[in-house]
Amino acid sequence: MSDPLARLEQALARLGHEHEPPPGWEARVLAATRQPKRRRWWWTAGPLLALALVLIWIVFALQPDGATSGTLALSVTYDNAGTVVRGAAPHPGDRMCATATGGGEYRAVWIYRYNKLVEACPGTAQSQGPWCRAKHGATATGVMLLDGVYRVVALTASAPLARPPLSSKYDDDVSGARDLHAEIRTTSVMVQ
Amino acid sequence: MTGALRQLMQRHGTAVYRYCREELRDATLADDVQQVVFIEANRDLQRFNQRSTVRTWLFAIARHRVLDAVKARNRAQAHVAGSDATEVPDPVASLDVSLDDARLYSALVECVGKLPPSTRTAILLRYQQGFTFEEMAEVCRERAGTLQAKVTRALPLLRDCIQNRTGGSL
Repeated sequence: MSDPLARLEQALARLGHEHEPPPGWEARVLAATRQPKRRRWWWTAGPLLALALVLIWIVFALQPDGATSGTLALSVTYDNAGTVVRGAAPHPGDRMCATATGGGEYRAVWIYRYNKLVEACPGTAQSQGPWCRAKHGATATGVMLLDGVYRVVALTASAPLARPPLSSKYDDDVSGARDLHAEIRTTSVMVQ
Repeated sequence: MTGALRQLMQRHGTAVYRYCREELRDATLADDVQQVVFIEANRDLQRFNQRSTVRTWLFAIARHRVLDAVKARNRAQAHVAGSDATEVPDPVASLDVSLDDARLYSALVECVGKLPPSTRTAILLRYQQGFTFEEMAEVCRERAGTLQAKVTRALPLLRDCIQNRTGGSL
């Protein structure tokens, strides 16, 4: 072959033909492909996170209203001559303490006797009593009980709530609060 | 899956190794890259869509892994100034004929090694592996005409390089 370029092409075709892969390379490839695949952490974390979210949702959905942390809850206790009693029937002369916890930025506790407001916390100068307190994510107030039927209302909303005047009516106040999209918990107390 | 991999290795293992070896001029690195190529091929075999031939697909993987290896080696060499990890061509290794042929072969290996990387790849795919320009275009993701031009321009340069090193014989 006299053409140098043709000879060059021929030489290039033989380039590296003296080299053979090292012995055992196929076995090494096969061994590498048999190793268990390294699972990336999010392959496991993703389903686990989804499962956790579903479980949390189920737990929250099955709990009764107000029992969930972060949602509005109302608790009522009675104080009889310095002894705090939970759940027992209250009597005239006892002090009833109502506490609202959780919920939105604004909270209030309203107490009605025979559907007329006797205590609001926070309330007006006339309707807010001396035991009204709001701190550490709880709003609490109390009244000295007379005989009759009381309704205790806990409210929460993302906007400031109205401060109902003394003797305002339960239905009107609650209706007004609902118009403000307030979340409401109520309980009734019979005192005799 | 293992059967398909075995078949791939038997049919194309040596060609891939020789390609890697000439690209990298480092037997150990070529061995590593060749293994990576087949491990990746095994991993992606089910996704291989058969728009190209298996051989073209394999060499496309090999080309990418060679580029990765070159980059990694360049980074490592930047930290060890003055070292040269590439092999000095051994003319005796190809001594299957005369001393003149051995000298020519040695010069050829050196001159191919001095080509710009993309041109060297084109030369190797074209002559060492016997790909058509269309197949090379799939491997390199370049136009066939561009690759043909690279090869056409490289041949006289290679010829001159070899003639300079051998004192005019080719």
